[in-house]
Amino acid sequence: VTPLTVCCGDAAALICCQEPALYETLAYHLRHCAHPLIAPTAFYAVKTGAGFLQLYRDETLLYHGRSAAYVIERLLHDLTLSLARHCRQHLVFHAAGLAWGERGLLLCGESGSGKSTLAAHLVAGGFHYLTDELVALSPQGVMSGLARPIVLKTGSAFTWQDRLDAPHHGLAQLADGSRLLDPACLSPGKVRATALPHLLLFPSYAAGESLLAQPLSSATAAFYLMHRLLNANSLASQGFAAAVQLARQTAAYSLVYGDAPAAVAWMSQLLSD
Amino acid sequence: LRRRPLPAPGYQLEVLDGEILLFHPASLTIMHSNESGALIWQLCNGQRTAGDIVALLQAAYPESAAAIERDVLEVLQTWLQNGAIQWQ
Repeated sequence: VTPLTVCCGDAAALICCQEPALYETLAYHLRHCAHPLIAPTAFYAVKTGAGFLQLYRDETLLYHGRSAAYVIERLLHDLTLSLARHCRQHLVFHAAGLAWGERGLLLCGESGSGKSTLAAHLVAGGFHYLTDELVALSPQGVMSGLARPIVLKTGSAFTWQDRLDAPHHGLAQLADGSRLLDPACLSPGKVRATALPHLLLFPSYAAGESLLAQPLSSATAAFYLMHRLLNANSLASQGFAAAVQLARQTAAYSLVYGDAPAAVAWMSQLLSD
Repeated sequence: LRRRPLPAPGYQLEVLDGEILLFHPASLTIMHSNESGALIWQLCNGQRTAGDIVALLQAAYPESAAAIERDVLEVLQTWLQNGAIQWQ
């Protein structure tokens, strides 16, 4: 079975899976993440035996049990951290990345701020999808991302129920109840590899609140960006100069929203002007 | 007010549109200050006392004189707690 390659920025991981159905599921959900030219820095293996599944990263056992959903959850989580840590040239931000034409959008939010939910609405609204979790910025200033499926928490997954249950998705529910949503099911052909940063947004969800967008100074944006930077210790100058440069060159807003479609309409308008 | 604040070694200063970022690469500590903070930082040279800094700013901004002493001491206290300044 051909190993799967998963890339983000200048880091890559190789995944070998002995279990056929799980392999098909992983191959389907990770098909946008391949980049064969990057040498892998981490090796994952899913082994089977006596009815059990075992997930390894290199020699480390990450999971032993019977749940394929748990294997995928652990794999996605560990893979994300591993790829971020192993990027030496690219800045890696905990952020969703999308694009409106060539204009890239970074949604830099804390966990629970609704990045993935907004990403799903943005793709359904015509944006291109780069990632819902890791944005990598190259030394040349080009953004790319870990183009895994959109991981929706149970609270927002019901919105896309009809797309989640399509039979070709394979396993689409993780052990914690989160759902995997293939961005191509929201808008075919809307997954792309790169874009140029044009807008930085720092969203937070507040139920029932009207949309409130406030411009941020470059210093504030850089301050927030440094708090979203995952691989500072792997970078020259801890990524500070590059983060400052990104903040200087890119418009930034804080965004409080209670209604995702209204937020999408505002972002579309801003990026179209 | 009689102590003399001095920027701690290792901090990088970045000025963006009048505001400042103070970044310490070894600890990954980052602090953001507005224009007032930027001004205070530039006045911290190990020679001026905190009182000198307050007096300079009060002379420059007499309309805000009442709040300046409190603001300067707050900012210096924050920087001191984060290791961005030390007393000379």
